[in-house]
Amino acid sequence: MIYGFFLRAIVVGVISGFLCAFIGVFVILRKMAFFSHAIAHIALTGVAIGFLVNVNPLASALGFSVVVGMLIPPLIEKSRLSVDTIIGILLPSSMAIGVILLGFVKGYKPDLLSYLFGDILAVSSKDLYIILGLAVFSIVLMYFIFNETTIMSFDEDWAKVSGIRVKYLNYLFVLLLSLIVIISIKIVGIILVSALVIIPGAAAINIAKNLRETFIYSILIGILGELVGIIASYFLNIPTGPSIVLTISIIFILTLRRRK
Amino acid sequence: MNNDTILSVKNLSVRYQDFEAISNISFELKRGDIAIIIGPNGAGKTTLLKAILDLLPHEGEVRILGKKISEISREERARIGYVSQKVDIIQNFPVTVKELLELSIKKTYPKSKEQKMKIEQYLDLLHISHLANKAIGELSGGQQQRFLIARALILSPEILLLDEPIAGIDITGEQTFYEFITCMNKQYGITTLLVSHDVTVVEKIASKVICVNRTLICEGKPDEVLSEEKFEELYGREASVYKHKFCKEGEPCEFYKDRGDLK
Repeated sequence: MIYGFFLRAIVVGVISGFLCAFIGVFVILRKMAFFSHAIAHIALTGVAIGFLVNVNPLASALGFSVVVGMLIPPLIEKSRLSVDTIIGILLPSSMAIGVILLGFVKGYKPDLLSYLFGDILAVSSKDLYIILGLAVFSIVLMYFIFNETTIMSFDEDWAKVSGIRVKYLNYLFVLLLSLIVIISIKIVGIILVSALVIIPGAAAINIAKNLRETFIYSILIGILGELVGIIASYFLNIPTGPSIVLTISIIFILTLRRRK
Repeated sequence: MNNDTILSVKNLSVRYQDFEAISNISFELKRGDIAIIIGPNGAGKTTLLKAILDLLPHEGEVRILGKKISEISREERARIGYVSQKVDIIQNFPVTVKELLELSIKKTYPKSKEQKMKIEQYLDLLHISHLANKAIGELSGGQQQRFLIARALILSPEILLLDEPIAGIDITGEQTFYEFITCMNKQYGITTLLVSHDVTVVEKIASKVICVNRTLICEGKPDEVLSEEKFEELYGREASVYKHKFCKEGEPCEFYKDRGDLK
């Protein structure tokens, strides 16, 4: 079954391309690009905990990223520092903890590189079912928070005055973003995952005339980037994660030429 | 608080750690009032408006439409309109005027035909029908401000709270805006509370003035409460803007009377 792993890679690639591109539009509109980058890097500590206590590293990464991600909004509210500064403190601190914890893991850690740089071709059937389950949950959550998140992306104060529970919505958004980032770590890895979230949305904004078009273009670019990247990596024998990221980067450059 | 009172503010204070931004402010608005909050830069005008809307942690009691704002249901919130000073969006924010208005009224008007009618009506009222399909990020400052006002009015609020609504609008637009606010007040009885750094607007449209300089300096009908002394207390000794009112034709203004070259 030489094509089994390839088929799984394609399915996971399409799912991740769709989810990242969708949430990516909101991440850009809400100026949270650095936040998504941080969530991915914070996951390293979760992966290390997983290795240490012998649980699925993706599950521990998800738990840890969600917990730390949830801490960011109240920290911003309570401190006088900007979002960038808070994330700039949390991101390297979490990575430092992760690297130190990894030092305590005994023996050879073959999986570690796949978490750092992704290995979509190593996705097992079990991984596929977990990712499918998380994806369905993410899509349902996105459906319920779509309108409110759009309003909040424009003006948080207005959203509050109109009765939208901005605080809870922010937590749900962090949960959703963490879920999607963790799903995609298996594909492109901790280092490159924020590219999957940011680049399709940024490219779409370059060419779209309205919100509807922005989402459609972003999702198309996200999925196309994954498919072309996976196929190119297979036939050119190059690493899959970087191949996907380069593909969407090229698409982004092309959209600059067509910028409105 | 009687039935005629639409907004009641009692002992409202806002603290930012050790700094007290506003302290013990109390006033009431009756239905149909056009009230203007004035004060110098840093006086806490925006802070006061945001605290009234529960957008900032505060002490004291605020009642809008007879209820604490936290007790007002999402449906009832449509009765409150709000225009912020500016919105902090990315430069090429891709959501169009029409799309955002649709999202704003979806809960109240679920049918798309009703939504379309309402949107056309309010875009026309604000003279921005031609911008319906334009992305908000592409609008100029003045166009964006008109859109914000359309958005605040589209659910027919009973009270409208505006923070420096004419910032970025040119002089013609400014005039039209004040006429518009007066007209909405007369025709539909919309109570308006607006923050302005421009004192001249008080005599143009206000039925009530609220003078703030971190605490309440005066409140009431402009003719009754805006004395020279109060004005000095509010803006300091060097304040000159309002003194223009006291200039007699052909004579130098009091502020400039030592400068013969300016006669």
